[in-house]
Amino acid sequence: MLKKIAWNGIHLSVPSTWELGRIDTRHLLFDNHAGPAMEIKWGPVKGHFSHRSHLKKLIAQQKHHPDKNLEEWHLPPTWESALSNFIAKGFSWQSGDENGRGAILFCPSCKTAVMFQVFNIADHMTGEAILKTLKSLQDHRNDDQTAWIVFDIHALLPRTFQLNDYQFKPGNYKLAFTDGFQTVKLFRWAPASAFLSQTDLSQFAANALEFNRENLVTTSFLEHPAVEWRSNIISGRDNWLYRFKPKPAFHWVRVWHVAEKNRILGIRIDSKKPIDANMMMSICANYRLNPV
Amino acid sequence: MKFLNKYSSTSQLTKRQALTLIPVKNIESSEEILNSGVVVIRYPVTMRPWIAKWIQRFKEPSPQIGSRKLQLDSLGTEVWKMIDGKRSVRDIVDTFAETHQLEGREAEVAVTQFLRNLGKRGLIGLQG
Repeated sequence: MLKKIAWNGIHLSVPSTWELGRIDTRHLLFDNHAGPAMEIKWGPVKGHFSHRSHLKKLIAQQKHHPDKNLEEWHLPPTWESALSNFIAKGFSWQSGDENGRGAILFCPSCKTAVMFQVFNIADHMTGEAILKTLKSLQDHRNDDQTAWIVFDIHALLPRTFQLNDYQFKPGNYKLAFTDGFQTVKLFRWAPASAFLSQTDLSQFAANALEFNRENLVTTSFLEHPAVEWRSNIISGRDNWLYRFKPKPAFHWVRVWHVAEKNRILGIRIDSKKPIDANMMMSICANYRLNPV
Repeated sequence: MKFLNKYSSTSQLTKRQALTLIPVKNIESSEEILNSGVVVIRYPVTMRPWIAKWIQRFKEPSPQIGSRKLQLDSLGTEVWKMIDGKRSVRDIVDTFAETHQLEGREAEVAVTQFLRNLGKRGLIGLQG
């Protein structure tokens, strides 16, 4: 059984027993119970991309680890077929009992280079499972959205929003994105029963997102109890000076309680120009929880 | 792009092995349950020798032991109550995840961080 992961442009499906052990802006490391299972890194390429020079760099880096023997590896036809969307060159290494096999990939359509390696393949997955994972690997979408699917979070944002900050502390997840004049922050708190044991949703939202409770409007969203706040500034010709102020003048906050999953979701948009209501609605509608 | 960072293990135990260990409460600690249901743990602390010497200048010689209190929140109380000398860390994580509908990884990080903090204070030990 596979589960979907999407992070900063990369999409792939991995065995459901794997868990994200490390997450950076352009780096994911998956663990299983035995240790690291797979690693993937990626980045945009400016100009010409050479697999050979990157492979040489990789081999050169291993000079510091004399017991690690990294060399070029010819991808089996099944792997080549699964990675047919990329120009791929394989590598493998052996270090004592540990081994890894991977590939450097280049996507000609979006100019992204990807490196992945699977550790101790025999221990972690069958040939069929690895092919499914490789076949699912994508580094771009065909629409103008970017998906963010990690842990129990599922979000879809316009591609223009770039990841600015993120945190995955137990109980409190946060993703922050910027796009010129505006920032979008996605929040997820769990377990909701603990957060709401001493207080109500309004007070919790006001404390967590640091604004005045009196401004909040109690409402519902997708049949979940919710609170919402919009800054009360009239948009239009008179307000064009707001974008020159150091702090954003337009705000939109929505926090809702998904009781059946014992979680609280929240979105906060701060902007120096009037917030596009359709964009806010679209982000809210596409921000949901993955099944645990 | 930087590829292939070295992953070195600093611990002798693997994660799987660590999760099979059984947390045991310090027998010298005592607990009190408040009306709100949360637990306050009282536990002994040994003073640093130079502090003990300094205090002895002003007070009668006494055992170099003081005590501290730690008030847990509701989730901490729940985990503390699960430490019975029989359940392993894995059992506690699984029960915690199930009770609160959390993902395994999130529950694991939350519970192990909490147990680590208790261990640093000498409130629990781990037995194999």
